[in-house]
This record gives sequence, structure tokens and C-alpha cells, in this order.
Amino acid sequence: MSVLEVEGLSVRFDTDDGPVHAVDRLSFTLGEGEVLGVVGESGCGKSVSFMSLLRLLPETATVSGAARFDGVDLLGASNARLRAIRGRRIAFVFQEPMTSLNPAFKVGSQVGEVLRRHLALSRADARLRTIELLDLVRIPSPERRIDEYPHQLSGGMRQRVMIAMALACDPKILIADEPTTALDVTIQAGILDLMRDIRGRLGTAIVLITHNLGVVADVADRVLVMYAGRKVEEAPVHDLFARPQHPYTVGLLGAVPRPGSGRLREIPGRVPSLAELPTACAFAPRCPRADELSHSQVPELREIEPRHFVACFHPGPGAEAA
Amino acid sequence: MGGFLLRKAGAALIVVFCSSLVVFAGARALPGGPAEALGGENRDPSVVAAIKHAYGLDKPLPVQYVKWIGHALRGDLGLDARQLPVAHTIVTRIPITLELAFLAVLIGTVLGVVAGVIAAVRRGKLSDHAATASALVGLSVPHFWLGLMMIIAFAVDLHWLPAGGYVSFGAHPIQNLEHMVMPAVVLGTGLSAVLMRQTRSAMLTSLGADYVRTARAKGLSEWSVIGKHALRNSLITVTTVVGLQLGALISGAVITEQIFVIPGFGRLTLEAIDQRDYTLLQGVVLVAATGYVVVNLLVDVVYSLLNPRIRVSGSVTP
Amino acid sequence: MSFIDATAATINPRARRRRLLRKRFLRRPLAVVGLVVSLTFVLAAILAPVIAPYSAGATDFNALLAHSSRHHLLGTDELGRDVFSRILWGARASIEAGVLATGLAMAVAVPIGIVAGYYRGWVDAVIARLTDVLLAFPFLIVAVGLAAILGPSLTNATIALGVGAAPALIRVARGEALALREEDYVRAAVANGASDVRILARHVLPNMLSTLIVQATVAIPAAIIGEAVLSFLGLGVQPPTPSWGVMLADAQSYLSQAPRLAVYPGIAIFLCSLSFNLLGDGLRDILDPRTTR
Repeated sequence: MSVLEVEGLSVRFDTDDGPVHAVDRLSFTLGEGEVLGVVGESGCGKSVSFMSLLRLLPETATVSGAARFDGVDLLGASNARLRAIRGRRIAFVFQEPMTSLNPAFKVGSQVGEVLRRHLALSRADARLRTIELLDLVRIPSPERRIDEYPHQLSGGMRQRVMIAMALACDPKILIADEPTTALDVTIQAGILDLMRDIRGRLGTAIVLITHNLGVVADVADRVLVMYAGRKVEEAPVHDLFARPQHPYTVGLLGAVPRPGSGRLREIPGRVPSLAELPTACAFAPRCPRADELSHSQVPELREIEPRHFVACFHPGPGAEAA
Repeated sequence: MGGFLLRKAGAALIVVFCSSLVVFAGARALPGGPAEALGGENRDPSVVAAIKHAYGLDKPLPVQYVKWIGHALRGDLGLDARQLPVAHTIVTRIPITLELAFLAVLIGTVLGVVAGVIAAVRRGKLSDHAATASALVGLSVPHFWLGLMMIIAFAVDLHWLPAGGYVSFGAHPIQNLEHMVMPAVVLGTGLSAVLMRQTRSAMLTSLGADYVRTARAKGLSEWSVIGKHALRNSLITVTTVVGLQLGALISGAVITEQIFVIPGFGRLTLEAIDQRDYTLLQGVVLVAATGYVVVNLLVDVVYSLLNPRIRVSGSVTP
Repeated sequence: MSFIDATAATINPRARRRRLLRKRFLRRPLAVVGLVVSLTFVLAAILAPVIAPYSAGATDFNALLAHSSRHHLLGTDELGRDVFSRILWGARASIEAGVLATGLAMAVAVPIGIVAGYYRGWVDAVIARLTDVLLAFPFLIVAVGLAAILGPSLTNATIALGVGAAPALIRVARGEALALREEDYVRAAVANGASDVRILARHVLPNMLSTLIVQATVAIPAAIIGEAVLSFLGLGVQPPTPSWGVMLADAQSYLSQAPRLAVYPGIAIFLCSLSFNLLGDGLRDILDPRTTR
């Protein structure tokens, strides 16, 4: 049972320096209660893709393709329809907890706002539910915290508040954009724990956007790897880590620091400019397996083993995976 | 919040004290000397000396100052050149200027903030350009000239409004407003222009902030996003600006009252200087300085209420 | 170049920046218009004796309150004086007052502000309190009071305006100095043992220049309007010397008969002020580090 079906999603920004193709024909499905990890470097289009689903991008963005959520066409829906979905059935948690909460309002009222807007709860009911939610995300002394301002909370706690805000109306999908990047490693573990808990208890589907493979290994069911705006590999988490196919994925795994593994292997080169649509494999300039074919044609996705897709002319664990 | 305000109040007291010193010294520096002014045409040295003695003007300056301040704190600001109690004159005139100032601030704030919000939300479009241009014009127009122009248009040509004068609100509310409309608009124009630009700038910053993106992601209506989340944070900046503009407002009130012949506190100041009535002048400027400091303190109170960092922690740094 | 100067120069190249600023400025038509018009006013003021068709006081009792004609471009006033010429002559008084008052304010405020912001400590506290006291007196009261003590004249009005504008400028200069003292090249200079005077003169002041210039272009119109106000109240230029403020004061008595006498000087003040404001806005825009064009 899939809650979200995305087909051929493309996002183009019209900037002063010309067009930027941030996302190029992205397609995937998200199952009910599934945790999907979306991995890639900064600027590969992962955040943009999901923000475009809720129309949270600036006006300079042109979004095309199709996205169906629970029978609703997200890209074509009216603003009013979308506003009814945002925060209620699809919730977003942004990556900067320090600045994503309004400094002028108490934390409790910001959570309560969602409840009153979407569930029409009274002030008193909203307050009770907010305390429950703050408790759910494991904020200690929630009855006290509810009346505090964001600047009185630590980064980790602010992130928990953001998650509480997102879960307030029991959404079908929770999209978490780099939820742990701005936080200490020790706090990260707590947040990830929380995510596992949420999925287990509430059955919410979670999209976990991150550039950190370790996070994904911990929590995700399936992983989607993006590069330069395109999906280059997709597989169940164990399969991806055991048998990575795309040289980029292989490189990413090689770059994960492990005790005793010696020197970190980095991927040489840089992310390409997104000013033009690719006419060849976008990863070719950095790829050790690249050949004439890679430099002249765009590789399409192929199913290389059950539910494991890769867009590459030379898939395989490769000699680099030593 | 208490600590913040206490510090501000302490600073205000120091300012008032220093201001009183300046006023005292300044009044004594006016040409013609107080004794000569009181003596009128009579320049006979013995008469002048007698006057000096009678008014205690021959005592050393610090003594005179203490005496004056002592009286002032008890509400006695002495008698002016026409032997009328200064405090009474001031008290009767202040409410008029307060009404003018209140209306001006009301007009200026509402116009300025609304225009600024619209300009920020519709950035780059026609309404933005129109609002920004109007603000620039409002800043560059000498407001006393604007007053003259309005008198020509509305009083002389169209006969819609009176050219000047004053009717108290208690006596005739409608007529009072008729007399106050033009002066208030003239006085409020400068404020609205400055506020419009500041609000626009503050709103542009707010609208681009992460928490506005969060508000949208929560599914809140645009009204709520702009009017509640973005505007609330801009108001903090706006309050500071209003506080800074108060001085200009007082200057503006003086000349506005002059043009529209409104018997307010501002006009009183000019009269005092014109007539070299130094007792009156001392009292007037002292009250003006104290009033200004008090109003600034009120602005600080509003600011501390709006800014949660001050409200809770007492300072901007945690 | 000494080692200290060389270090600072490599961190802080200015010639390239000037070219960039010039390019940015030319891309802003409003700012260019502001520059051109304000320069026109200044030129008109300087060249008034040459280009004014009549002298400031030349009366013509045969043509009182005349409308515009071939002889009198903008008509005449109640004493038969040519309005256009008086506006030109008035430009001298008003713009001179505006520029000189601002210059005076800058000359006084900048050193005080820099000292307060750079040295901090008790010097800063004292200066800050004094500035607050001065600011407690609305600029007009200060100006009026000073004019009353010193006697009404253009010079005294200019001084009064300068003193009135100084406190706000002190605050600006102080703020800039406060921020600049944390800059790396200033710290480098201190570490290299440069004297205070040298640091302030070669590193702090030049980098405040752009902010100060913007402040000046905004302060000048305020001073011009201030002079008009003072003259209007009889505390500045004394009639028959023309200034825009005096012309407006005279026009008050003839509002119903000849409203245009009030319109022309006011428009002059307005346009002059507007052009300086446009210029100031443009300068502020191009000097803003966040501007991309």
C-alpha cells in the first residue's frame, strides 16, 4: 500500500545566472509506514524534491511531473487544498532547529497552532495535547517547557519540538530534512531513537533526508541515492550496504569513517553544475569506470536484482569496494 | 524584564538631571539676562539689583539651581513674565499637543506599517514601487510646506477645513477633529514615510526567515503567516524606530502648531523664546526634556514586552 | 611602503572596489538622476550671481504679485521681486547652510564617535550619556535655543543645525568604530605595533567612509529643511536676504491672493531634498555587501 507515488518530478529554478535544473525526472513510491532514506551530497536536489511536493519552494521554481498522495494530485492541487494537507497529513521537519521556530512566540503556542488550525481544538484541549506531544518526543517537564520561548531551549530540544509540531495531527508522512545535521552526535542518537519509536508506535511513513549514511543504516527500510538531481540507485537498506551497484554509492560507503579502516577514501572531483540538463552520465567526470558510453548517453534505471534499481552503464561492486 | 527596565529608568534619570542642568545654564545664557528682562524698560542699576535680590538672582548659581529644582519637583515652576504660574500654563497647553501627537502617531503608524507590509509582500510589483516612491516623497517634503499647501487646497480653495485655530474636544468633538486633521496628517507624514521603509525592510527579512517557512509547512493561512508570524517579529524593529522618531515629532509639533495656530505646548516654546521669558522657557524645556525621556521609557517598556529575549532573560544575550 | 602598510594594503584593496561601485551606480537610474539633480542645485547655488536675471533685492513696484511672463519666469512677489531669481539666490543660502551644517556636524561627530567606539571604557560611557542628553532635546529646540542666544543670522543658524545634527552622527560613527575594531586587519595592525593614530587614520576611518558618505547625503537635505524651518520662524537668514525658508514665511501672508508664492520655494526645497535622498539611497544600496547587481 503506497501513500505517495512520485513520477518524473522535475524542478527548475530560474535564477539571474540562468536556469538551474535541481531535480531531473525523479520517480519513487513510499509505502505506508515505511522509512525511506534519501541520501546524497548537499545540492543534489534531495530537499528541493520534497519541498516541491508541498509547494514550499520560492516563486522562481518551476515544478513538473506527477505526485499522488492518497488520491490527491499534489502538484496540481489548489493552494487551499495543499494548505489542508500541510502539517495535517504530510508534515515537514526542517534541518535548522535554531531558526525554524518563531522566536517571538512560546513553544507551546507554536505546537498548539497546528492543532487548532487543523483539528479545531479548543485552547484548553490543544494545551493538553501539546503536553502529550512534548512528552512523546521525550522532552522532560513538558508542562513547564510549554510556556518557554525557543531561545530558552537547546538545539536538540528545539528539534524535538519541531518533530512534535509535525506529529501533532498524526500525519501519514513525516518528511525529516537532515534532522540531525545541526546537532551534536550524542543528541543525534536520541533523535534517531525517537524516529524509530514514532514509526513503531504511530505507523507514520518517514522520509529521512540526509547526507549521512550512518543515519540511514540505523533507521531506514529502503534507501534512495541521488546525484546531481537524479536518482542513481534505490534498494532495500541491507541490499544497498551489502551490494552497492552505483560507483557513487560505492564511493559514499568508502568515505564513511570506520575504526581501523585507515585513510578515508574520498570521491575525487566536484558536483557538476546544474545549469543544463545532462546529455551524458552526470557522474562520469568523477567515475573510475567511465568510458565513451558514459560520456555520451544518459543511463536509465534498471532493476538489477529484486527491488534494487541502478542508473549506470557499469553497475557492480567494483574493484574499489575492497 | 525588570532588570532591563530598571537600568533604562536609571539612565533616564541621569539624562533628566543633566538636561535640567543644561536648561538652567542655557536660560541664564540668553542675552538680556533675567533681571533685565524682568525689569522691562528700566535699566537703572539699582532697580536691576533690587530685582536680582528679590528673585534670589544674586545668590551663587548652584544655590539658585537647587532652589529651582526643589520647587520644580514640587510642581512649582515659578511665574512667567505676566505673573502667571508657569506650571499651570504648561498643564493647560500640554493636552492639546498630546492630542495632536497622538493623532499624528496613529496616522503615521497605521499608514506606515500597512504600506510597509504591502510593499514587502508584493515586492517588486507596482504596489511596492508606488509605496516606496510615496515614502521617499514623504521623507523629502518639508512638512511645514506640506502644511501650507494643504491650507491652500483644503481651506482656501475648497473651504472644507478650517485654516487654523483650535476647538477643544470637550466643547465640540467634530470641530476639534476638523481643526486637528490637517496638522495631524502633516505631522504624521514624516513618521509614516520612515516607518514604511523600516517596516518593509524588517518584513522582507522576516518573510525570508526559516520560521516563516515552517509556518507555511504547518498549513497555516497566508494571513496567519504574514500577519502573525512575520509581522510580529518586524514590530520589534518598528518600535525601536518609533522611539527614535519621537524627537523629530516634537520638533515637527512646534512648527506645525505655529503654522496652524494651535495653542499647544510647541507654540508655547516659541513664544517663550520670542519673549525672552526665561522662567517660562526653563519650565517649558525642562518639561519637554522630561516628557521626552518618559515617553522613551514607555517605548522601552513596549519593546521589552515584544521581545521575548528581554522579557524573559533581561538582556538580548543569553 | 612600511611592512605595516603593506600588510594592510594586501588585505584591503580599494581601487578595484571603486570601479565596481561606479558600475553598480550607473545601473541605477534613480540614483543617477539624484546625483545629476543635486549637482544641478549646487551649481545653481554657486553660479547664482552669474545666471540670475535679477539681483535678489531688485524691486519693481509696477509688477507686484505678477504672474509668470517673459520678464519674470515665475512671476513676482509682493514687492515686485523676481521669484525665479530669488529662488536661485535662495539656493545659495539654503544649500550653503545644508552643506556647511552637515560638514560641521561631521567634523565634530566623527572624531568623538570614533574615540568612543574604539576606546570604549569610561570615555565611551561619558560620551554616550552626553549624546543621550543632547538627543533628549529635539533638534529644533536646540537649534531655536542656540539661535536665540547667538542672535538670528545664517551663520548662527548653520552652527545651530550642525550642533543639532551631531548627536545622531556621533552614534553612527561610534557604531562603525565599534564594529571595525574587531576586523582582522585592524587587529593585525595592532599586533604589528602600529600607533593608535595610525590605526584610526589609515584603517578605521577609510572604512567608515562609505557609511559616512551615505549619512552625509541624508543629513544634507535634513539640514536644508532645517534651515528653511529656522528662516521661516525668523531665526535664520534675515530678510531681505533670500532663502527658501524666508520666501515661504513671506508667502504666508499672501496664501489666498498668490498661493504660487508658497508653491515655488517649497517645490525647490522638495526637489533638492528628494535628489539628495535618491542619491543617498542609491549609495547605500551599492555599498550594501548583500547587493548582487
